[in-house]
Amino acid sequence: MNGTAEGAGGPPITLRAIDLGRVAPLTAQAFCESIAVSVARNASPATVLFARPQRPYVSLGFHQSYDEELDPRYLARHRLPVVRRVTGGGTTYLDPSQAFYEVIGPCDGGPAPGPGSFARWLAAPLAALHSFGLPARLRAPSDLEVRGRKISGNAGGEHEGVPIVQGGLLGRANVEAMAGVLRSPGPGFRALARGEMRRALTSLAKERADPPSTAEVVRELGIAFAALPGVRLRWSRPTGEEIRRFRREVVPRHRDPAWWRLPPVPRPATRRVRAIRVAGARWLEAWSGADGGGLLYLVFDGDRPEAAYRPAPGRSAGREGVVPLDRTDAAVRSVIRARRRGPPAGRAR
Amino acid sequence: MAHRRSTPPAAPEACRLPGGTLWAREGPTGEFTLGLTRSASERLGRPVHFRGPPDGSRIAAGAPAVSLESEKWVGHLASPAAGTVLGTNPRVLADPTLIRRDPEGAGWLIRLRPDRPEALRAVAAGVTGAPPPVGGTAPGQR
Repeated sequence: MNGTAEGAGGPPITLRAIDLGRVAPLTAQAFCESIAVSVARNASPATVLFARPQRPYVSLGFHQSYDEELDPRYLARHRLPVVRRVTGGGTTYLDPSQAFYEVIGPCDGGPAPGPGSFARWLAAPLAALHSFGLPARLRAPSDLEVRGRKISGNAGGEHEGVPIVQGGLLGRANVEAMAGVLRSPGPGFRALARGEMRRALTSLAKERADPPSTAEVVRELGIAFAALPGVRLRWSRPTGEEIRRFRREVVPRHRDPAWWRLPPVPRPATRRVRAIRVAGARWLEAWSGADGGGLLYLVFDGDRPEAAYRPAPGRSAGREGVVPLDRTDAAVRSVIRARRRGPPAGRAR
Repeated sequence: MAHRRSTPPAAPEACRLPGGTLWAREGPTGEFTLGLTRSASERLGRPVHFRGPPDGSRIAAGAPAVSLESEKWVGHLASPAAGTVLGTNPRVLADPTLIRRDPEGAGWLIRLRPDRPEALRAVAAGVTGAPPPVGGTAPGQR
């Protein structure tokens, strides 16, 4: 297809659709990599994959570090496996209430792969949400929102040169677990993250008195992808070669610590010690004081500071473990100035 | 239209490589600096992560050399030639947005000593015609 997201012009593209059903976390997250190899070799057509994870797990974005992002004690206590994906974005907690869609390819002269190509494919989950009666909209680049709250996170990337867009619809928003898996830089940070997520996220269970099952969600997603302009959907199954490649190449690579425990991306030494994108442009950040002093937690919406706190160990009243600070506080103003200046141009650590 | 020459000229100026994603500039001792072209950087959006290969590592032509992330999209740039990586831009490691702000200057990505400098000169000069195999493409670039 040479057309746009609206499918204007050019012949229709045939998109193979595969429903993996309810599968192990690694299959749900990474089977797309085996398919991408087939697409790269012209052995399979562009494909949309649907999957539902059998059990909860955590997915790291391609550039994220296990050691910087995750709380190993929480992971061990809840026996949560961790899968590093080939696509971008932040840490996600995924569970059986969610239904995934993953578009692999096509390399067809349509919109160039990259952030600009999200809208082309996210029109389908958006339509599925509409079919459930929800006033969903795309918040660029890749969040789907209902009444200003995120119900779907999406990420993109490439494997073997083949573009991949993957995401899912939240059946439930388990903010306890979403915040629990994250490494906390100090007391009260996780509670703040939980509160921010509670406000910023929604789910099918929250929005509907009779939420659809994940199987119903997949069915609607299939209908929505088939209805995309310029797309001809053909239901199929993975090829034997794709299954073999997944077992022999993809699974061993994902089990190798060299992959899932990739060292952190070098970054400048700044006072910002932790940053979590809650949803959209909303960030929760932890900063050390200008004089190497105590931690400060700030909430930003884009560049606009929304709230500031300092940890208060043992405090039980009000926000758990934090004390609100005025934005005119000297330490808060110092952080805001440092954030506006950006990272230093010196050596990366 | 490019015409064939038996001996490609040296490329002292930054040259856009086939595909339009990368530029290359030859240094005085045969090393090449590689970066993202302005048009590719404009399609990229706001870069948030950049990872380059370790200094001294060997890289094959067409193999992913660097990864870039922008707006939740991860893309890989393929090396246009086989060679040894001499260094990754520390300023870009510190601040990936430099790739967007000054892609053809301070936002260069890596320095490479190609095994066959003449082959990269030929590619840079557009003499050989065929672009190098691209295992991964720039974000926003097919």
